[in-house]
Amino acid sequence: MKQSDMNKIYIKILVSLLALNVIFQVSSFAQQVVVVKDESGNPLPGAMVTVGEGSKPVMTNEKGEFTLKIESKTLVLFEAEGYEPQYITAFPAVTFENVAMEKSSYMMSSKDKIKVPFGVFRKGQIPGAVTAVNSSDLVKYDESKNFSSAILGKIPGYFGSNDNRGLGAPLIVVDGVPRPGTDYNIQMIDQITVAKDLFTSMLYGGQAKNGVIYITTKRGSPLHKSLNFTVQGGVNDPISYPDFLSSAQYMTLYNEALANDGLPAKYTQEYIDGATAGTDPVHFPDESYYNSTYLKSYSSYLNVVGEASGGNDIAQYYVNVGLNRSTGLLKIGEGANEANNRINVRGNVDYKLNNILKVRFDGAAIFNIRNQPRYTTPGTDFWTLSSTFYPNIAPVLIPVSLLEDQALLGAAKLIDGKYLLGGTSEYLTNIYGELSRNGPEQTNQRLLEMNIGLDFNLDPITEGLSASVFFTYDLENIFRTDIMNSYAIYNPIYPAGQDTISSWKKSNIDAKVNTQTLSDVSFSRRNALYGKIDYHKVSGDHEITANAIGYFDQYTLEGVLQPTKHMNIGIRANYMYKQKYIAEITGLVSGSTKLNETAPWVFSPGVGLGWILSNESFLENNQSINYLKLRANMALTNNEEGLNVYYAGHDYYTQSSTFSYNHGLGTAYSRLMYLGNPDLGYEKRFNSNLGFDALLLNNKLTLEGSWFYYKTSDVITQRTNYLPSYFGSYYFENYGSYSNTGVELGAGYTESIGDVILKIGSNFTWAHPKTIVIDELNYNEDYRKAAGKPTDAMFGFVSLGLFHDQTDINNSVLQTFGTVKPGDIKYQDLNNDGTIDDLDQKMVGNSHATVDYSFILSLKYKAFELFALANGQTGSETYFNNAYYWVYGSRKYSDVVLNRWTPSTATTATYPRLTTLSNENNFRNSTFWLYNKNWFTLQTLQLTYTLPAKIAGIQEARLFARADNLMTISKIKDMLQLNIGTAPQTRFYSLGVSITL
Amino acid sequence: MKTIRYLLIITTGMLLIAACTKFLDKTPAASTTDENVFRTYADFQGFIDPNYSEIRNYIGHYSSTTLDAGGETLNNFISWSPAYTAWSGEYVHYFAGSDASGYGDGTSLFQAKSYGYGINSTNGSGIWTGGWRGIRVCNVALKNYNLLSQATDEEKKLILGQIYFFRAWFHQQIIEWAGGMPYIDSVIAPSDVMRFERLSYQETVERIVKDYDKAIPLLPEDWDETTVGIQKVDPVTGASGNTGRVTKGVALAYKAKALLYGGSPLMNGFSGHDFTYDVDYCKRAAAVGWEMIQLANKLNKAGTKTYYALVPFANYSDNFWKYRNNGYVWTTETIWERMDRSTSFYSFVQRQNSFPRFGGRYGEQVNQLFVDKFEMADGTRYNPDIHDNDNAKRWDFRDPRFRKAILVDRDQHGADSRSILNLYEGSGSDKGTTQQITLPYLLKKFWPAGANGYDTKTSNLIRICPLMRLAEVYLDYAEAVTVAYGPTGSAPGATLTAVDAVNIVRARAGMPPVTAAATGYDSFLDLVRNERNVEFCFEGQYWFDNRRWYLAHLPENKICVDLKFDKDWTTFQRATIKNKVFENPKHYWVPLTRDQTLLYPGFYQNPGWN
Repeated sequence: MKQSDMNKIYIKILVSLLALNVIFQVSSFAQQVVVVKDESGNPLPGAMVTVGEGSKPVMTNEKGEFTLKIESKTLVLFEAEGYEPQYITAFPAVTFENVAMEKSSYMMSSKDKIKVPFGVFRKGQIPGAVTAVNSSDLVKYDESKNFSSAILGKIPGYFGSNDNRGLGAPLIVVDGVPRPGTDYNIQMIDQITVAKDLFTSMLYGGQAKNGVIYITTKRGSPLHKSLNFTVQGGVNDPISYPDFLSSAQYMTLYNEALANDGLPAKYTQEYIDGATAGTDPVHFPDESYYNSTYLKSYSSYLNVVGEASGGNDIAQYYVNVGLNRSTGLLKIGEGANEANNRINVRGNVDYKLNNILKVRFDGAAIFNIRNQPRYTTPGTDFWTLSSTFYPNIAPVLIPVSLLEDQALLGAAKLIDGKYLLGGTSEYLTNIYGELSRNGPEQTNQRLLEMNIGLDFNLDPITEGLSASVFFTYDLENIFRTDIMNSYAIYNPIYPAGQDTISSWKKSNIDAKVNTQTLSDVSFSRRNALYGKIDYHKVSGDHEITANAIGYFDQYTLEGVLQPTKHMNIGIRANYMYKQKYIAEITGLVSGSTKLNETAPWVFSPGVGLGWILSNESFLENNQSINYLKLRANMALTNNEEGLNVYYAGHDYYTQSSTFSYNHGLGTAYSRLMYLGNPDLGYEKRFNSNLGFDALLLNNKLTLEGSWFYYKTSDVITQRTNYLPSYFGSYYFENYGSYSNTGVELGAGYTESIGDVILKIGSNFTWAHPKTIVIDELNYNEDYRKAAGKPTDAMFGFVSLGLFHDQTDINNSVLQTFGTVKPGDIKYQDLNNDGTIDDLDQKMVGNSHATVDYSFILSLKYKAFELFALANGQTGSETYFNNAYYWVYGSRKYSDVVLNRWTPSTATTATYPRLTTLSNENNFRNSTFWLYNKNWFTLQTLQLTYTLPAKIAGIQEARLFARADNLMTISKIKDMLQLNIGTAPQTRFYSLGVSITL
Repeated sequence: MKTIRYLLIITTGMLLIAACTKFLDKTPAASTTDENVFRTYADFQGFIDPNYSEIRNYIGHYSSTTLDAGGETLNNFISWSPAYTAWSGEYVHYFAGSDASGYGDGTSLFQAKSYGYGINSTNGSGIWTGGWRGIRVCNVALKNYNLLSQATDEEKKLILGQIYFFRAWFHQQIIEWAGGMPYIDSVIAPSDVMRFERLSYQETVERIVKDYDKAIPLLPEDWDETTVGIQKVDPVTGASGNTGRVTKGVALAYKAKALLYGGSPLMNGFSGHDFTYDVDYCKRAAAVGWEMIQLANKLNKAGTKTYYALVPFANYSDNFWKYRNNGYVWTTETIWERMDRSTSFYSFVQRQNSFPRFGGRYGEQVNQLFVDKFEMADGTRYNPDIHDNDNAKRWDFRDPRFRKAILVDRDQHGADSRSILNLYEGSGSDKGTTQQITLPYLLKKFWPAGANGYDTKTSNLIRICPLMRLAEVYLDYAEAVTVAYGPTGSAPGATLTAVDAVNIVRARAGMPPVTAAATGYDSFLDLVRNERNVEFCFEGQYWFDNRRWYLAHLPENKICVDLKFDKDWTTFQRATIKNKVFENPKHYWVPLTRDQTLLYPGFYQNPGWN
């Protein structure tokens, strides 16, 4: 049966069903033996047959038979691996004895349906570079936490999970509308379509300039009733903590740094010796913070998801309820309660009102609740404090037993009945106090999402015509509540030469309040509306799929007058001939609120072609080339995403009524912020792709690959390097261009050996971005120019090592970044002008990886399946230049300074001389601080056991054990895995069970 | 029928889409049009007002004590202070600033590129960046002046006067640092070819003077006397909300200064002449100076006071600091300064003059050679050979301004007994690396007693570095007249000689009058210059003056001398401890950023920089 005929039948069935529905229902029963046959008329054993809503599927026997006991008008679903599913309604409309199944053609079956922006295509129809991941397949062996971990390593063309071909973050679209989607559990998601090229993404306009990740949530499907529970629990095991120097080491080296600067020592030897001895930690503190007093050895993770879905041909539903909780590593006070909790509820309903109109209604709510200690300075936390607090300033806890005169204690509030919090009048913050005495803080994020869709079947007007209107309304509300308690700190005073405390200086007070303080309240609203008209018709060798869309979205943040708006009107028409030749065109008109308001419209065209060679007669029966498609497309799109202002064609003033200067008639002022440029136009991006999809070697090897080229021009820029200062203002103009060329390849190989099924896969991406024209200084030196170099070029000085001694300095070129001393970094004079200055910087590395690659392994043995995913990147460099590595001034000393320059280690030192000043010479980006960043990580290892037999009422049950971020190989592994000032990176181990009823 | 129904639905949908093109319209409340900005007096004034925030207070500048870049002071430890970089000649790094684009830094005193609009900031936004931005504001305002419809004639004049003043003044600020510049007197459009060549210093001055000439007749002597200004005067307290606005006096004083600078040796030399005074410029400066002096001494309309008056010496420090909550430092002598009331951002004890033992970051100290400029109380010159060892006269029998501006050993600067300074050699002294003090003199001018870690009198303390005060009007006049007409001459029609002008300033300080003989000095001009150094010490003038007079590169002005003495004051010994890097002509002008000098040859770099 041909597809079009099937459709006709289906529609007729629906129409008649509806008619019958309205009339009084007459029930009658029949029982008969039905034989399911394949396309050649042979019986098909193992096909699944579902009779009516809510019943269990039955499997056909080896003769392809099953016995049908059925009420009239019941919908029956026939499914078999490799065949198109069929819905047939039982008598009296249709009677059936032999059901013929239609074999799925590769990439053209209903299982190959790929949801792309504003449409659904079968994979074979698409001339674009598109990769899709179905979560229901995925979760069977890979229990990812969210969509981005689900696609990590699985998309050829992606760097990590959020960087499309090196261009940057793609647009995330959920159910047709740009939304973050980050809080969705993986079970909620039906399909993740990654549209890499501009051609496939362009109907979303300028927003989609870096491609689209198009996510759809699950919906109910007729007769597929299921109830699923997944529970996963695990632990996060911290990988490493910073190594800061001990108190004695720190004081010794700080004195050394002072000496290097010609300044007298700050710490006396007595103090240093006291800290070294460690016998009196109150008098001579040595606080490290990264220890078991403060930290648990691991944090926990729990994820519970329940799903229910089902329905009949009239109404379908999908419900997802989830709870996700991850705790923190802190052990004390409010820190012990630190947790992120997420609760989500979603219901997606489809209801067919009549044979013309179908309604979709989706509602979702997500609550994110974060509990943590309240920190005195907002924005700080345990990790920032512990990476900046010196080890030697004050003891965290002072045992009151050390107090000479206990009467002095008065009403002091003790910790555990025996400690006071230490501090000084300069250092009022005590980490223990922050965690245990400062009150809790709760951050709430509430997200509500609503979609309403109307689908019109317009077959009565023209066959194959349909239309829909879709409206979404999202609401986000964030607020924080604090209980603003406070604590007192005590600075002990020791009488000379004694170990008991005679008195102290108290700062701040112990206070407990009963009120909550509300802060950081924000509301935002995102709504979108689109209408579309679809046309799909198969007639003979011709298949036409066309859409016309009108799309609007708007994001409004409370307090911001001008909302972000997008508006696109477009058409897309796909034509397929003989399932061999594909031609598709796309045209889009977009409007802008950011450019000149009198002419905000722009047109973007795209064209794509495909040729399925394997359907040609010369390849038709080739066993080594089972499928081969060539595809090519190009698109030229327009965007103004880089512009953060509105109506840039006009002069823009800010006005304020709070002019706190003494001038003006009291209050108001207005300021010209930038100059309008009526000629400002869209930034243009052209993209062409050449690619192929192939199935080779007796259906064992799949290959896909694309070559891509992007050219971005007319970049919206403020040309600060072109304008003389005396211009006195700024304006936006179209200037600059850059390109990006690359290759992406994906391969998968399947082999069955006995009971073992082995699948291996690999993805590879190479991208080469290049600056063509950019607003930069008119340098005389070519090496100093960014144009002609990669867009991610890192400019820096070339280090020649450290100056050994004064003679070395005297014999070297003059460096102009402050006075140079032995032990400072020596730079290369690139332009040979006898001085080292800003002109002596050249490209020393790439900040973005050139290559991303991954390996996927799946090994299935009977009920066991082992899944492993590893990925890596090469071709980039990084400066280690944060406070942990650039230790100067008053920064806390880490172990990187141990191998510093001293006169005696002048030849072996790997770190510059220490300094308490800023040292502009050493602490600037140079090859001294540059490291190659190549890495390879075993991201995921999961072992799944699927219960072989169906136990009482359970359709399927899986047990799994999973580990994430298991192992990294890199020359700078320790540095890459170390977080400073934030919670540590972790390895994740978990166990879980998933049961489908 | 059904077909029609669905066609209707679709048509309606299409119409909706068409209607939605309105979707792209601007949110009405989010739009500000030229009309909103320029129609009424209040709105128009609100457009000009941000210019007042582009005025810099040298003291408020990031990391610096004040603009002590001329070598009068030394800081040996804090590499980012002007008093440190002045000695190393490193304008590039902390003085004019440096970043990846060459010479121009977000935080430098001159460039301050990245400050953005400093409307509520302590720092202002740089002479260069803020200046050019202010000039554009003036030109835009002028272009839209015809939109000012809801204003009285008086209000229109006030607007126009301020526009012309600011355009001239910003240019003047820029060229005093960086030399002659293009004079921007129209709104440059993006489509214009921006290839203006740098003018010579004197050419720029001529254009500046023209704008002052337009501004002077339009500006009032006192805003409190205008119809619009009187509304800003509190009827009960008489407190004026107009303090700090541009007046005729400001424009006159700056016009005179512009001419005096234009006629000064450095500027004359860089305008293609000799490095000597241009007498003609000095004549013009003298004439304008006399105009200003007359205005200063004129009684106001109410007849209650003169428009300006020197502050009595007892209240001298009112010019520089005040304890005041949410108020300003502004006196009868003040002509022009930033209206700065911020006290918190760089709190006094954190940085600025106070040194570590006093709870501060670093102290700035005074070069002995500069201290020598202060005369003896009887008007004779200080003689190191005699006075260095004279415990009675070395520090006590001196020009009273000495002890107002400088702290010496054994001074107690606060009520707390620990606030006594120890600046001798030997143990127990504050001199040395711990307290980061090299020379035995600390700056007192901007530092009230008690503003230290012992007495902690630091809250509500506002400090200002005046940019123009009446004393300068007299001394600018004295210098111009001396060059043009000699010490006993005067501007045509004037009743005040150069000698008289100097004596007015000296008399306020309690110093005996001088005569044309200029006893103890090489010439009367030399005396005027010395008087200027003393009166305006640490106010930034020394840096401008030594350059202007083409003296900064001379060996005698590149030495830092320390005075070493024991705790008991028995022996006093001088020692040269530092030599200054000041190349001629390199260090006479600050470097410009490369993003400017690489644009086109007509906008060239100052000599000596690349």
